[in-house]
Parts: sequence; C-alpha cells; structure tokens
Amino acid sequence: MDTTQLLKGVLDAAVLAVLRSDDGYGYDVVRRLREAGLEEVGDASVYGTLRRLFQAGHLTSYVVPSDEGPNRKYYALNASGRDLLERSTKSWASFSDVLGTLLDTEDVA
Amino acid sequence: MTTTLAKTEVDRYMTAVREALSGVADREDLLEDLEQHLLEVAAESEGPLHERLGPPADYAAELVASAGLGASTGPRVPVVDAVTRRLRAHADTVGSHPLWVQGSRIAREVAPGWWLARAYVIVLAWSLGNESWTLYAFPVPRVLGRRSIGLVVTVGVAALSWRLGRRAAASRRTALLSLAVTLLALLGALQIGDLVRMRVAAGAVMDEGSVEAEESAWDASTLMTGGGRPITNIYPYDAHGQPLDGVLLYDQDGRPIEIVMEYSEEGAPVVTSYQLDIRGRPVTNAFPQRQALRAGSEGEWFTGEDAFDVGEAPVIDSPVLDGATASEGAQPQSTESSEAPTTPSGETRRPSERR
Repeated sequence: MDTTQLLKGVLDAAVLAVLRSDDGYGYDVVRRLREAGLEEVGDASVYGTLRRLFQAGHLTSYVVPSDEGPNRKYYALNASGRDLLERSTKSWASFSDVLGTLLDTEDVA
Repeated sequence: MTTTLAKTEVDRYMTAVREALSGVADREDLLEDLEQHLLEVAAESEGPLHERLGPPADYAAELVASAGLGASTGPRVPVVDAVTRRLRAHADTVGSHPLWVQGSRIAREVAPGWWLARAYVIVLAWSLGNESWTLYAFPVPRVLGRRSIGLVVTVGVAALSWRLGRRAAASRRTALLSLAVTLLALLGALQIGDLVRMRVAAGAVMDEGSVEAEESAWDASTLMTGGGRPITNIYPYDAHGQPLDGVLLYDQDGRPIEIVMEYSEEGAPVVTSYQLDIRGRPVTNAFPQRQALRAGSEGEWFTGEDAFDVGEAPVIDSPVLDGATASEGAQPQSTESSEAPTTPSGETRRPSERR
C-alpha cells in the first residue's frame, strides 16, 4: 500500500498523538513522527497540519524565546484537541478492524 | 555545513518558498516557523536543503494543501464548482492535444526573440505617439527628440524584457507581468499599423475633379525646419512683403519641389488638393497649397472646393528686399494684395480669404 496516501488521511491523528505525550514545535514533531516509524511524512505537511489544527481550535500555541535564532512556536493540545484525538483513536480502531478482517478473508494463505 | 553557507542556502530556500506562496492568504503566518525549521534541517545533515525537503515550490504546495488553503477561500457554490471542474477538464483535453503541444513547444523556442521584439515595438509605439507621428521614427525611434537616446532606451527596455521573460516561469506574479508586457507590445503594434495605414490613405487625394495626385515617394527628401519640425506648406511673399499665390518652385536641377510631409506636427493628417494645370493634371509644386487640416479619421474623403483652403498665413516680418522698386505701389505686410497673380491654369485668382 502506498503509505503516503494512507498517511494523508491520518496525519491529523498522528500529530495530535505526538503532542499528547509532549508539547512540540514543528521540527520537533516531524522528528518524533519519523522516529515512531513514519519515515515518509513531509515537513511541509506537518507544518500545514499543525496550523490547520490550530486554526480549527484544537491546539494552543506559545512562543519560547531562543538564543540561537528565531523564537520557537510550540503547540499543545487543548481540551478540544484531546477530545478529537480520542474520537480519532476510536474511529481508527474500528476502521483498522474492519479492513483487517476484509484483508484476512481475501488473503489466500 | 558551515554556518554562513547554511544561512545563505536557508535564505535562498526561504525566498523561493515565499515567492511560490505569493498571492496566498496568511502567507506570513505559514512562513513564520520556516526559517527556524530550515536552520535545524541544515544543521542535521550535510546535503543541500532541497535534497532533504524537496524543491521549494513543492514544499510550498504541500504546505498550502495540508494547511487547508488549497481550495477557494470563499463559500463553496455547487454551480461554480461544477463549472470550474468542467473548464479544467476542457483545459486538460486541449492541453494534451498534439497541435497544442507542438504549438507550445514552438512558442517556447520563439519566446526569446519575442522578448526582444516586444521591447522594440513598445519603444517605437511610444516614440510615434509622443515624439513624431511620422515614418521617420523608423528604424530607430526617437526619444526626447534624439535617435541616440532612442537607441539607448531601446536596448535598456530590451534587456529588461529579456530578464522578465527568463523569469516568467518562476512565479505567478512574474508570469502575469510578462504577459502584461506582451499585451502592451501588441497594442503598440496596432498603433504602428494604424500609422502605416493612414499614411497610405493620405497618399491619395481627391478633389472636385476626382484626380488623384501622384503619390509622393516615401524616400523623397523632405523639407524640415531645424529640430525636425515638419513643413506642410510654403507661403511665398514678394519683395514687398505681398503674399503670392500659385508660385511654382523648382530646385537647381529643374525638379519640382514637393512637400512630402503629410502629417502636421500634432499628428493630424494633411490632405492637399493640388491645383490643376490646363490639361487637368495636378501641379504638385504650386504654393501655397490648398489643404484641409483635420484631426483625422483615416479614409475620410473631402469633397467640395470649400473643404480646402490655403490656411492661415503665418504672421511674418518679411524684409523688404533692397532694390525693390517703389512703383509697385503695394504696402508691405498687408494681407490683401492689390495684384492678383496668375495660376498655371490661366485664371486669375485672388488668394483665398484668410481666416
């Protein structure tokens, strides 16, 4: 399966999940997603997603001053974001269940 | 990567992304963290940025798409969407047609020549409109009255047009700018075509007898005053300051002197009705000539004798020539002559009334 296509559908949830464990800024979130195994994720996609989630009211953001350059903008989950993540987790679980069954049945062992 | 090298590359990538995002709402917001991100990416690996991140244009596109800004920013109207989709489908069909593909390839090869040609056309059209509405603007247009300046300006505009053409593909804004310059050049070409057409039309003249004057040769030498102002008529005066009519002028070789300048300084076409000789042929070197000065619509034929006039004689301070006899009895500088000169056609004629 083309993971790029799959990823597009679930990047929101992945980003929310990363932020649940810890607040993060763009580059940081990209790195953590990659470390988790999503090597195909594009930097621009992550930034765009962060912005979109923020605009939709699921994230808060704050700026941390940095000595070495421009200040970093950190994102954090708010209540709405946590709620969305929970819903996304549930729907993903049921979706992967259904698809798993479907694929198993078709699979010629 | 050394710090300075990295910074330059980051700047360049940043600028390219910024340009690719021109016209996008909230552009600065989207770009806010980019510089920091680029610096960190540069610090983590050795390769160039676009190897790690992809080309700037792609980065910009991905950013816009994932930020949800790809679609129209206004409310979605189903009809508009359907129409847009249909138009896009048509565009795709046309775009893949072999004729179109071939045409685009040719256009791309011809483009550089066009970049130069359009610059010349623009300067030429400007020169014709503002400087001298005559064919003497060819081939080097005058600017501020001088061909040398015109040449410099043409070369300068050509250089700018070339640069713009080269960079037209870089961003939407430069592409539109280049298109605008092309349209400007096309307008200029129309204007030039107009001039040529009017000159050809003004070459033929109709008077009461439906006689067409011989068309003056384009390369005939033209009388001009200093500074290049056109001479459109000649007013002869006699030794006592009396205006004359029906005077024939010849040069040292016996060639009739003609007025070739068919446009007044303001750019109005000058239509002349030549006086006829006894055999009904137009005499092109009899002065002053009868003319109709009209700000021209081309192709407008003037009929009727009263459409033509010798025009307002210029106010002059003519010297009384030494040796002129006093027995002529005429007063100097009067506008009415007591003597009526004869015209080639044999009639005596009084000069037409001055306006």
